Amino acid sequence: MVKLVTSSVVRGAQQGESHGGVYLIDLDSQSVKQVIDWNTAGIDWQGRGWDRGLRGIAFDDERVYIAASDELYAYTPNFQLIDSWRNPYLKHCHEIAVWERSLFLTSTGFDSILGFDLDKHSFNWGMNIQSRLHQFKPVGFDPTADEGPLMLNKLHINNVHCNSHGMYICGLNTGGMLHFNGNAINMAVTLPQGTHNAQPFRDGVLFNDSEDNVLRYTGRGEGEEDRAMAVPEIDTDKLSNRTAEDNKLARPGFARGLCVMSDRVVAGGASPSTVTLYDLAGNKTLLSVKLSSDLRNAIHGLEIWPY
Amino acid sequence: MSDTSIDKGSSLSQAIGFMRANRPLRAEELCRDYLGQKPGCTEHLRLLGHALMKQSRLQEAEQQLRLALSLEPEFPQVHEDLGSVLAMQSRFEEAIVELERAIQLQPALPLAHKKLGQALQAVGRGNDADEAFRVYLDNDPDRQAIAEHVKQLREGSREEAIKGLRVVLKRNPDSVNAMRFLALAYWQGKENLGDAEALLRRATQQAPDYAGAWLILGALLLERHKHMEAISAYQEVVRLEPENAEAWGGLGNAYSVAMYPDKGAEAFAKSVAIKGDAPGVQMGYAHVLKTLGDQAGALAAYRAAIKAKPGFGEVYWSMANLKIFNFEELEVSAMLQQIEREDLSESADIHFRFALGKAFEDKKDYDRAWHYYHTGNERQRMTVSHDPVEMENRHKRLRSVFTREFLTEKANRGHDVPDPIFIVGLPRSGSTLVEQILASHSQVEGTSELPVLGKLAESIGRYRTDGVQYPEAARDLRKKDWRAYGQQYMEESQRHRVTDKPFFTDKLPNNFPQVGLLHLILPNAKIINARRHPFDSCLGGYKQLFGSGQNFTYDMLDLAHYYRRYDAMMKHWREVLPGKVLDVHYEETVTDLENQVRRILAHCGLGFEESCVRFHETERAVKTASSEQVRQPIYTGALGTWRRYARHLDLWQEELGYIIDELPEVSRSAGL
Repeated sequence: MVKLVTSSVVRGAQQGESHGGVYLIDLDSQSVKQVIDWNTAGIDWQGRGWDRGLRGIAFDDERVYIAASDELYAYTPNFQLIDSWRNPYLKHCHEIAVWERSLFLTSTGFDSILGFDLDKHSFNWGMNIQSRLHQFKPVGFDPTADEGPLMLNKLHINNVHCNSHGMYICGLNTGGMLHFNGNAINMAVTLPQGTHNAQPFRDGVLFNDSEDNVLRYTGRGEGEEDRAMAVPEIDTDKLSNRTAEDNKLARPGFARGLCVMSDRVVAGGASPSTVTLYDLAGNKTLLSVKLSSDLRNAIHGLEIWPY
Repeated sequence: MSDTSIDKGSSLSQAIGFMRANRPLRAEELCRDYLGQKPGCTEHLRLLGHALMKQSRLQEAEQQLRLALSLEPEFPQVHEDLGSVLAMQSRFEEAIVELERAIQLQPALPLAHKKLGQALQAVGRGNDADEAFRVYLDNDPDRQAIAEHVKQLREGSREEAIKGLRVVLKRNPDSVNAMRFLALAYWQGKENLGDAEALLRRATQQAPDYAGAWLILGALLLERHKHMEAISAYQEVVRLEPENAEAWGGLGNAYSVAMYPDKGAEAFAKSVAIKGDAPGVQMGYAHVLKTLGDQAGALAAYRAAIKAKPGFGEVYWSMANLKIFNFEELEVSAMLQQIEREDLSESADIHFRFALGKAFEDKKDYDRAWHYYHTGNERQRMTVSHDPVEMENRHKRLRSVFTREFLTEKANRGHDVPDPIFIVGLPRSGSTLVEQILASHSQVEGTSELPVLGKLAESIGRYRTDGVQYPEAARDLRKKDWRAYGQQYMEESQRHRVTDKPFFTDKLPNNFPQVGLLHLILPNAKIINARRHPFDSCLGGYKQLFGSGQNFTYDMLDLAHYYRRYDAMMKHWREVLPGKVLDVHYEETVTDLENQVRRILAHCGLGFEESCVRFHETERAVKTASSEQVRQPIYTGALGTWRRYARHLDLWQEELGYIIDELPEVSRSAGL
C-alpha cells in the first residue's frame, strides 16, 4: 500500500480559521487522513507572520522533520511532537532535504541554505547565495554567530535538493536551477519564472511551472520525452473562500509540491489542495485526490510516506 | 444573530490580525460586533478608531477616540491616536494638545515624540519641534543610529552610512527605515541595485503604508526598466498621498516609458496641477504630449520648464528635437548666454550646443550650425564609451557563425508565426517612416523599438561554464531551443502590444546584426532594411543627441566606421539569405511613395491599402526623434541635406565613397 504525506498552507488565514496541516494519502483507497492540524498542534501563535502553515517534509530514521516558516519540527511516525528548533537565520523556509547526516533547509528570507546536524540536532552550517547580474556566489556563514547575511529575500529560494553530484537550489528569482558543487554555484538549467520544486530527474529537470499550472519534465534531448502535465482543472463554483480579497492571495491550479515515485511516475500538488499522480512515460494522469475546496489551501511539501 | 459570548481577547486578536492583513473593514466589523454587546470597551473603541483611520474615515475615527477618552480620560495611547487623527486633518494645534497629554501620561511612548515634533514643525514652532525629535531619538537607539547614518549619507560618507545601516538591520531586521536608507545608499552609488530593490520590497511589504519607501521603489524600478512594477509602486504612493506631486510625476514617467502615453499625460497633468514649478516634471509632461502629437501643449510645457529652470539645457534640446519647430530669437539669445556661464554643467552645455546647431541650421547659417553640432559632439563623445574594434570583432564572429551552411542546416526549426515585421538599419535613416506606413495598415500594429531581440541573443550561452558565449554558443542549440527562443521573443514582445492585429512592427535599428538569429528563431518574420544616402544617415545621427545609446554617433570617424560595418553586415545577409531582407531607400520612398508602399506591403504579404500612402493621417503615439516628421505628408526637404555641410564631410567622402557608388541613382543625386 503506497502512501504519500503532504503538508498544506492556507494563505491569509486568521486565527480561528483552518491553517491546513499534514495529511496522509492512501493511494489505493484514495482516502485522506489529517494527521496534524496546525490549529491544534500546540504551536505558539506569538510572533508568527501571516504565512503560517507547514511546509517541507523529510525523514531521518524514526523521525519526521517538518518545516514551518521559521521553525523546524521533529515528530514521531505517529506524529507526536518530539522537539522543535529555531535559528535567527531561518526565515520563510520552504523546502527541506536530507543528505547523509545533514538536513538542509531553504531560508528564503535570507537567500540562504541552512544545514542542521541530524546527530547533534543543531544548526551548524549556513550558505548565503549572493547574486550580481547573472553571477552567483556562495558565501558561508556560521548560523550560530552574529556575522550572517542581511534578510533581503532577493532570490526567493524555494527548493533544495541533494544528490551525489551536489546541491541543487531553485527560487522564483534565480532564473533557473542552480548547482552547488561544494565550491561554486553555477546555473544548471534556466527555467521559467515562477518555478517550484525543481530537481534533477533522469537526464533532465523536473519542476512545477506554477505560472503555467503544469508539472514539467525537460530532458537533454530534442523534446520527445519532454512533458507538460496540466494540474487538474477545478470547478471554481465549488470552491470556498473565493472573494476578491482571497483571490489576491491565492488562485486555483497553482502547481507546488512534487515527489518522484519511480522513473516514470511522479506526484504533484496544486491548489486548492490536490495531489495528482502523473505517468510521464504514458503522458497521462493516473489519479487525483482532493484534500480541500478552500481556494487558499495549497499543497506545499509532498513525499512518499516511508513508514 | 449576534453571539453573546464573544471573548474580548479573541475578538481583539482577530481584529488586530485583520488590521495586519490590511483588511480594516473586517477589523471594523469585529470591533462593532463586540461594542454592540459591550459599548464601554475602550480597547475596542481604540482599535475601531485605527480601523477607521486606515480607511481615511478620519472624523468617524475622531468620534470613537473621543468616546474612549470620555470613558477613560487617562488612556495615553488614545490621546496619542487622537493627536494623530487631528494632525491628519491638519488640525495641528489641537493635535499638539493631545500628544503632549499622551507624553505627560506616559513619557516613553515610542512614536508620540516624533508625532509631536512633526505637529510642532507644521505650526512653525521649530525649536520645540527639535526638542520633541531629540526626545524621540533619545528613546530609541536604532532611530538615533539611523538618523546619524542618514546624516553621513547626506554628507557624502556613503560607505560609512552603508556599514552603519547594515549593523542596524542585523540588530533589527524589521527596521523599515534602515531598509529604506540602505537602499538609497546603494542606489546613490549605483551598486547593488538588486539588493536595493529587495530592501525596498521588504520595507513596503512590512509597512504597506510607507509612502516614502514606495516612492523610492518606484524610481528604482523605473531605472531598472521594470516599468509595469514601477507603475504599481507609484500608484501605491498616490493612493496613500493623493497630493504628492513627485509621485504623480513619477507615475507619469513610468506610464510614458511603458508606452501608455495617455495615462502618462494624465498623471503628469495631476502633478503639474499640484506643483507647477517642477522643471523635470514639466519636461516629462512635454515629452509625452509630443509623443501624443500635441505639439502646442508640448511647447507650452517645455517653456514652463525653462521658466522654472533657465539653465535646463535638456529642455532646449527637446524643443529642437521636435524637428519641425523654430526657436524664437529670444530663446536663441538665452542659449548663447547660457553656454557662456562658467558654472554650467557639462550635460547642460552639450544639450545647448545641439539645440544651437538646430537653431542656426534653421537660419541657414550652416557653418555656425556645424560649429555647435561639432563641438557638442566632441564633448558628448568624452562622456560615452564606444569601442569600434570590439564591434568589428563581434560582427566578424556573427558572420562566421551564421554562414549559409549553418542557416541551411538549422532552417525550419524556429517558431513559425508570421506576426513580427522587423525594421532594421541605422537611426535617422527613414525607419520611422517605414514603420508609420506599415502601422497605417489595418492588419499591422506599430509598436516601437522593442528591447527584446538583443537581450535574447545575449542570453544564449550566458551560463555556460566553458566560456563559450553567443554567437558561438548558438552552434550548440538543439532543435527545440530555436523554437523556444522564437516563442520567448513573441511572449516578451507581447507586453509591448495593445491591439490584437495579426502583425506588428519592431523597429529597433540596431537589430541588423541579428538577422541570422531572427531568421532561425522566427523563420516567417519579415525584415526591412531602412536605407538612406550614407552622408544623410551619418549626418542625421551626428545632429542628434540621443537619450541613451547610439554612442557611435558622436564622432565622425566612429560614424563612418559603423556605417561600413553595417554595410558589410547587410551584404553578408543578402549573400547568405537572398531575398530575406527588403532594402527600402528613403530617397525612393519620398519621391515615389505609392510604388514603394506597394513594394513594402508585398514583401510583408499584405494587401495594398490607401491608408498606408496617407500615413500622416494615422493617429498613434510615436516616440522617436522623427515623431513629428511622420505626422506630416511626404516631403522632399530632407533629401541630400548633407550637401549643406559638404565642406565639412571630407572624411566621410574618403571612408564611404565606395558605398555611394552602389546606391540607386535617386539616392546618389538627392538634393542636387
